[in-house]
Amino acid sequence: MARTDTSARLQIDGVSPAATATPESAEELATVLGRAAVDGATVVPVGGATSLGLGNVPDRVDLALHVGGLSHVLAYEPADLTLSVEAGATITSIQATLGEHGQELPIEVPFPDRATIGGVVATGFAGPRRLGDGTLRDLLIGASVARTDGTLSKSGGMVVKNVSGFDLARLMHGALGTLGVLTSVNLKVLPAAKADRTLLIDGDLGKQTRAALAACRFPLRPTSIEIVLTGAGSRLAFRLRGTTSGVDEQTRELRSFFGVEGLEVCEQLDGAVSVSWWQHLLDHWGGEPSDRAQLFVRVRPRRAAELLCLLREAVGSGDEGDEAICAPGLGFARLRLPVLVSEPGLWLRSTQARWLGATDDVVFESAPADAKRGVDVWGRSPAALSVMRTLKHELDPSGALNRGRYVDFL
Amino acid sequence: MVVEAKLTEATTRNLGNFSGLDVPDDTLLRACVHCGMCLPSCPTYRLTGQEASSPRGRLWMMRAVADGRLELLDPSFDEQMYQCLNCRACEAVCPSGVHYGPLVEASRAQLEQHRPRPVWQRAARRAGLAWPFADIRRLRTMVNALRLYQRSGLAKVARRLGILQALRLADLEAMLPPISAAPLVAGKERWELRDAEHSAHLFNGCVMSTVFPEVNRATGRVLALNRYAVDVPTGQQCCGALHVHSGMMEEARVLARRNIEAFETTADEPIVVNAAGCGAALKEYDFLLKDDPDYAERARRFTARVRDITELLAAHPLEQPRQPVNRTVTFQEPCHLAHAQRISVQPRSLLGQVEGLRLVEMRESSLCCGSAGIYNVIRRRMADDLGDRKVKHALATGADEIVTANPGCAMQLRTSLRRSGATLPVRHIVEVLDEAYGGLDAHRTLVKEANEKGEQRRSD
Amino acid sequence: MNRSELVRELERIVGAAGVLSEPADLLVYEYDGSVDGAVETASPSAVVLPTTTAQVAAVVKLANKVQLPVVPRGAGTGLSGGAVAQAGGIILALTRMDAVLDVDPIDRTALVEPGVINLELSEFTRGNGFFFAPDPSSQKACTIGGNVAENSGGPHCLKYGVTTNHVLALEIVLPDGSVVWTGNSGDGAPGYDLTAALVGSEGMLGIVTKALVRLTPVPPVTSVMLAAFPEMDAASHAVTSIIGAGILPAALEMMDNLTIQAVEPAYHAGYPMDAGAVLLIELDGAAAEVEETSAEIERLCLEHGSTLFKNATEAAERELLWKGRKMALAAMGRLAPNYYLHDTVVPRTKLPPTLARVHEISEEYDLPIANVFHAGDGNLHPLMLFDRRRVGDVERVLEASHHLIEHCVSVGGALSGEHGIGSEKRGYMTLVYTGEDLAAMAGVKRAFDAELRFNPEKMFPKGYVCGEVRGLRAQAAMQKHGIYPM
Repeated sequence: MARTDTSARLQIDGVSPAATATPESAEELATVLGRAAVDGATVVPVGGATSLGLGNVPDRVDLALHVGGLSHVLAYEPADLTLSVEAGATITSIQATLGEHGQELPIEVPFPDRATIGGVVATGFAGPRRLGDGTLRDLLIGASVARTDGTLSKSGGMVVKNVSGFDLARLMHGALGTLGVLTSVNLKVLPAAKADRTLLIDGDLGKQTRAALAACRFPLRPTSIEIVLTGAGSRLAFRLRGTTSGVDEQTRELRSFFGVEGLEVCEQLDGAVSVSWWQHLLDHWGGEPSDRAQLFVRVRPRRAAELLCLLREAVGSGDEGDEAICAPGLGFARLRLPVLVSEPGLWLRSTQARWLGATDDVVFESAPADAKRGVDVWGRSPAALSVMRTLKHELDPSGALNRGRYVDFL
Repeated sequence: MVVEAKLTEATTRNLGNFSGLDVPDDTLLRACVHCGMCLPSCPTYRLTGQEASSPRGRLWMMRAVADGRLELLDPSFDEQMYQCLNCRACEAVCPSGVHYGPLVEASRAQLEQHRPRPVWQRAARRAGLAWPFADIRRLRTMVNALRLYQRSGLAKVARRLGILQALRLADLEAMLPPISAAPLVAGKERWELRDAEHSAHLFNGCVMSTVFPEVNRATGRVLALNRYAVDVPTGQQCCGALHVHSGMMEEARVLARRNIEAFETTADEPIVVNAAGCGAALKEYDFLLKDDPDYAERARRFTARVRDITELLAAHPLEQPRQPVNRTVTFQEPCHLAHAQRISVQPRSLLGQVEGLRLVEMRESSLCCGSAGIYNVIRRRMADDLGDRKVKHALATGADEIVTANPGCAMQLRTSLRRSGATLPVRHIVEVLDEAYGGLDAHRTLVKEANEKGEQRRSD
Repeated sequence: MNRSELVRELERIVGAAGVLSEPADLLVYEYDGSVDGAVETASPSAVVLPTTTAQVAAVVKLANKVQLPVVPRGAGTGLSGGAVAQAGGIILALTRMDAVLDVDPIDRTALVEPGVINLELSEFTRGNGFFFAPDPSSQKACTIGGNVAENSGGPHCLKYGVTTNHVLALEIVLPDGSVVWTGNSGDGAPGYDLTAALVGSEGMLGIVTKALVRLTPVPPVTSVMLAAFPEMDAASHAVTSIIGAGILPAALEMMDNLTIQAVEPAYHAGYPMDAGAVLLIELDGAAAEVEETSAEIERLCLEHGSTLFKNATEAAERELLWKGRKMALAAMGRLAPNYYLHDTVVPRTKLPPTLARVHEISEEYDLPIANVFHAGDGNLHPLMLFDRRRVGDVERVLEASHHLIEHCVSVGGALSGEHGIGSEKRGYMTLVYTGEDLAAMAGVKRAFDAELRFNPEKMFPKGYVCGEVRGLRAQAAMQKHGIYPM
């Protein structure tokens, strides 16, 4: 039976849920959701609560619907390279299960011991490994979703190729749980890489940018290429994953390439040390600090050099703790800026406008609630907004799920 | 010449709205599973994007006629059967091995039989196709007249007065190379050096022997250098390809029978042909005459002997060419070589053996240039588009010269080149090989040397 | 509006050359690549060949005004009846929109129109060191627009994924005639991932007029291995052990003895005629990695009783080995006049029992069945060989197909791996999905196309009224007893 209590410790942008439910089965979750929707409640699905800062400020939250009670592996056949797992399973637990058979999900997220697979799908998180390995979207082969009419519906299956019906599973990716609540997902898994290596290069940002973009054109593209910018300078990080011999070969090629570019590898990290360097970076950028705003911006990669100049300017050279991270090959960047305390709302709006003028997408991934209130943190409205509205209406007619928190206050 | 078709029970059938002679073969027709793999290979489909202009669409229409769902004389059916270039590119890529060529030819034959044509049109067709090609001597007379026109000041005057433009004959005129003074007459010339090991018999061809006789002579020389004794048997006629393409099957059969007779005296030795269009037609005499009890078997024997010049030469290592040809060339694949005869590697391998010659491939090298028999005469617009597309790809390679292996393609390319303002020469592959062997002069020296040696030996 | 008025209106939009309305011209749009008998042919009211997005939008608006269905069509090579206008209406043939608009080597993307031919996109981008990874067998002819609609796969999808993994954004015309971009999927663009909904939607949600697709770099080294086995079973287990060893080949294909009998005499690819099955295994990547992995694959194959193992590293050798596989369908003509190509997927580990079941069905229905398929994905392509002129053959094939599909579903498989549902398999949807599942999909359909304007009579079971699940339950119950509505 679902545990329901009203002692809400959890807050969403300062709003405390009136009630909390933690169902223990998909059917139960669907029933709870259906009842709440009939009552006209606002429901916020919660996984590991690691990205609650993402989204617009809710007017009210009647029910925090935790999926943590659903954490079982439903099916795992290593020889099929497929996994079916409940939405509340944490990334760490999934990786541990797969690791026993030398397999992995080729994704990394902040706070993997808390972040749930359902949550990662719903937020559509794309981190440094997006460059070489893609996102969870590429691995989704099926899903089961609880809908606000109290039913469960599934799509896809447990096979890696499947064209039968609309791809509802991928439609859930990045939808912030506003179309339905994932109860389980089916995923393609991959053999785990045997070697992991990181090459760090400090130095001139111009040279780093050129090298990063040139390396993106190599047939064997590194798993990640990121440039970390702080007031103190910039650091270029390359990550290589694969077989030992493959990584060695790639390292040789890269080192000679760096030589030609006039760059020097200042540090090489291998195995677990390499893995934890990146986890540390992820955790840092997943931290949702209370006194700063974090922006995600995106441009077409051909404009990456331009973006890096803007980031350099925005971060400055002082020691106020402003910082940015950029994947030039993807045209992605995240940056953290202090909020103007006296006029937080105005600051956020003007910052958003400024970056919208220079980039294609600007999303405030987290910011103090008083700055966010009344603003659509998702930035520019998507072109297909009208379809999105009807889609939301078809799948969640009462608008129970994450009401007002999604794009254009959907 | 009036051809009376011999209607017998064995040769006439009914299949839906098809009837009479040359009814498309139902089994061949139904081999198509409409998978669509042929679409991109079809030049007319590439231009129009319309299913009806694709091999699959045309086969479906034929099937609809065979099923009685579509009238034989439906204007769209007529249009499509003749819009087709019959380039056979679709056959080469068909997973089900559909024999498209014979089907479209049979459909055209059906249209010819059943279509009411105004009397003047019948007469014009007869004058244009049947009459001149029925006897090689008639064609020679006509081409001689054309040569006189080129040589006399008349051509210049006509050009200046714009008569050609007015008659829309300007492009037609541009197609033709300067016509040689000496047509190659069967039985009059032969090529043989002392070390000859094999024999081959040249198919002279109507256009080749009159408009391009030098290519035929070059063929003789190149073969002689490669140890063939080559003659040109008398009695041979036009191959009949243009008639088959136009659905004039009976006229084609008459020609085929005469050619079979002409070559029957020469045992089982190869019949060599240097015009891809003729070669493809000769190789299908067995199909053309399959219902003729007197000729079916003889046609099969004939067909088995036919070799394209590149096919024959590539069967053995080439005699080492004597002088380098320092040029970059691109190869325009004649459809009737690449698709109908599936000869694609051989010409390239021969060109590869010429010292100094660099072969660069053009895009869409196997897409039809728009020549397609008399297509460029009767369907100018579509043919022009294809010719221009081909020339664009050829020019993009930066080659100094376009090499081909069919007179029709050569003429079509010249026209399109002229339109584009480019001055690239177009040559037959045999001419390139002949050049590498030193051409006529070197051949004469060889013949002289051979004769002297022969005399010496005799005097020893 | 009567017919001639409609034609006049359409001509006003796209010009006279872009509208087909004569019965004989419409006749050739009755079919696509599907097998006769499995998909009913149907004639459209008109065919329009637009050249711009604006023309597509205008045609859709007109279709709304006159209440006619709109069916998008590419090359018409589909195998599930997707491009056939089952309910009549206007066919939008997108073959003339065939420009590659942009290639971005840094972003590794190409912006293309829907009529671009799959293989030609790869050829076009090869100069930049790229190719378009989805490579369905029809890649020489099929279009990118069609690939998007059917979420096409191909042999190299084992490593590189299917079309949905290679489409980043789409420009689509919605059923009301408006034009929108669906946004960069999975790349942080805010809003729903409509691209995901569109890919594999079989032309039922929007008409794709531009696609931003991902390009894949041509790998530095490629190697193709041939392993022959005395029996299918041994080959299946070798497949499992290769994947189990943590190896992900670029392609992993299997052919059975019947296929070898058809292919080898035709193409001399070097497959042993007496082998029960051969595997084609392609590896690509860094030189050292490929070399190391090839050795491991050889060891695993020998361990599973491989009687012959060849490793081709030269381009010509590789092509010859692939030729046999790629031309396998063509060679089937040597065995029978017709074939029905199936497309079902089972979890890889269920391959041995599924192949055994295929064999049983073959015996039971006296139908030779050749197996040539993507073993790495568990994507079976049993080829039922028959002669459609023989009375009863088509019926036997269809009946045998029911049993095959039933088996695949019962072991956790899918109805279609890469061909789609279309009109061919719509009756089977209830085997896999409940009424609730289908109701959610119907919701997606309504969100895009409430009036069911685009490609009606596809994917959803016949007579399916959105939200009405009772009929479906009855149908599902009947299917459990082997009764099919088809």
